[in-house]
Amino acid sequence: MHKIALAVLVILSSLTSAQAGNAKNPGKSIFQENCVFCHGDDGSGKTPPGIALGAHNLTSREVSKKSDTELAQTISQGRNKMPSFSNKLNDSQIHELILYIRTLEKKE
Amino acid sequence: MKIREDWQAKISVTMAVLTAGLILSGWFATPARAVPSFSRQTGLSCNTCHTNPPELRAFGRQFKLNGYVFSTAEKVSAKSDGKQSGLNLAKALPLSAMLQLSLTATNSPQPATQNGNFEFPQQASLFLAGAWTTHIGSFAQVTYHGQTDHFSWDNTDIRVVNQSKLKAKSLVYGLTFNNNPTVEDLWNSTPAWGFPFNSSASAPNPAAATLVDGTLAQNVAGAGGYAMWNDHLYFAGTLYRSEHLGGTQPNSGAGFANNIRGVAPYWRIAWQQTFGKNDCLEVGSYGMHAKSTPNSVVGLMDGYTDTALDFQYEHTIPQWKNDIVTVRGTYIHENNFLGALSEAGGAAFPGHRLDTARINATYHFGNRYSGTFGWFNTTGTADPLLFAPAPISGSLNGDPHSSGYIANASWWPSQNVGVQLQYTGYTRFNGASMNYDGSGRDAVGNNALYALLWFVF
Repeated sequence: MHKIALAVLVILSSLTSAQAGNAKNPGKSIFQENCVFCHGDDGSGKTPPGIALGAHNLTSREVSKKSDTELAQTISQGRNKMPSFSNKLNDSQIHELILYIRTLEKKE
Repeated sequence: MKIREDWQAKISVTMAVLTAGLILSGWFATPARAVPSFSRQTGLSCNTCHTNPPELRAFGRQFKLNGYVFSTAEKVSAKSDGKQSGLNLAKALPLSAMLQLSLTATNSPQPATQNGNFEFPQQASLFLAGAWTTHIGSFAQVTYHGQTDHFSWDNTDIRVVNQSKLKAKSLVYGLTFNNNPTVEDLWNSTPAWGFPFNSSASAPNPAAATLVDGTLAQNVAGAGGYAMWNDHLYFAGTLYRSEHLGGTQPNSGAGFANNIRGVAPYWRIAWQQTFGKNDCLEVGSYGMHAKSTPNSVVGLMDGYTDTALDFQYEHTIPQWKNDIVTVRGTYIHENNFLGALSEAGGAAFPGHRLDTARINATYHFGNRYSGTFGWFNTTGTADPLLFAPAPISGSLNGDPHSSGYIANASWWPSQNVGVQLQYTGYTRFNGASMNYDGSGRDAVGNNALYALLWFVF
């Protein structure tokens, strides 16, 4: 029983450490928390909910052609089945997020 | 005199086990939940996660997998670094409420009771359901049951979650703390969230149920881990200990049919695959092993090993305005060795098997109407003491065989208001179709019409 409790503590600790590590890259952290559900870790949108909801491929030319203002507007106000993040993300966070999304585009 | 006392004690043990099983299966038969605080938290309507509550769609499964923490709601936050803890707290507490009102009529009245039975309410629940912080969230429920006339802790799943990569593919992993084997599962093919999603609390239920099929619900506490790799491969494992609501602390086991000795491991493995935009398939296996002592935590033990298979298939029909067809099934095989129960006279011999099969299909007309038809069958080793004769709940021949069908129609005038009409028909109940209980009751006498009105807000 003691071993089980110890294992739970170790795993909890690792989860907390991972959280602190993500804080070093705010755009990636914001992306992980808010976007990977549908758009996936690689931004392709090829996750089960992304496919079902028609999530855009963030690495695509269609997205990369959009200006920062257009992307910020989509994130802030939502689009089609994508919810609005205006209550959660401020302008600075949206800016960090767009910078990270641009790095996904380059991987295409 | 001694012989008579022993005989009475054996009957008492048998009745206690059967009664506990019936109560548990009755409670467990009504698990349907859909939680508006998730909707408030995400800014998404109920049908983003559910075809109809509590059936999860791809987004709902992903939301649950990721610890119920996805949010677009306003937060109170502070940045963290290596030395300072951060904060990511929802401005509003994620609370929801549910009210269920029901009417049940059985084909034959249960002796000395009225038929056409209203429950007002059948259940009233409060939920703490949503993100606690960035990586921790919960589905926690407290329910008032009309029959017991008190609030009690209900299904609970608290998750700690994170994401990473393994072999360059996504990996979602975390911990779950829960009180019901399969409550942490993502699909509606396993017992905790399986069909029927709601059912009557007053209609008779078959006496036999495997351990993983709701027998331990809300009577255990479990800590486990889970992982989904590459959106395809799902693993979960939980270790359970007995934790009886209303029981003594520390647990003495008195008055409870199952008291886990050591820990009871539960396992789950599943593969999900999408085919194009419109088809999603899950196939998997789950099970658990437990050693338990009835009414005590010392002495002889009973052993249970449950192994199960399950599948779920969803097909969206674009040419029919995206109507959805869902087919689900599970097969559970249990081997048990009731050493303690047989020694106490609650079973004629130790070794038994129990097999349960269920399959059902739902057609969703948009998200306003749905119709489901399901078939179920439980067979096992006959035992004249374990399944002893008793009015309504017993078996004349000791055979646990029960089978039948459930037809359900649901109407959702709003996504959080449901009207449900359900008919359960038995072709066999506790071993026979005619005079199954030895008191002259037929299986069809337990056929039940169940109407439910439920509100979640």
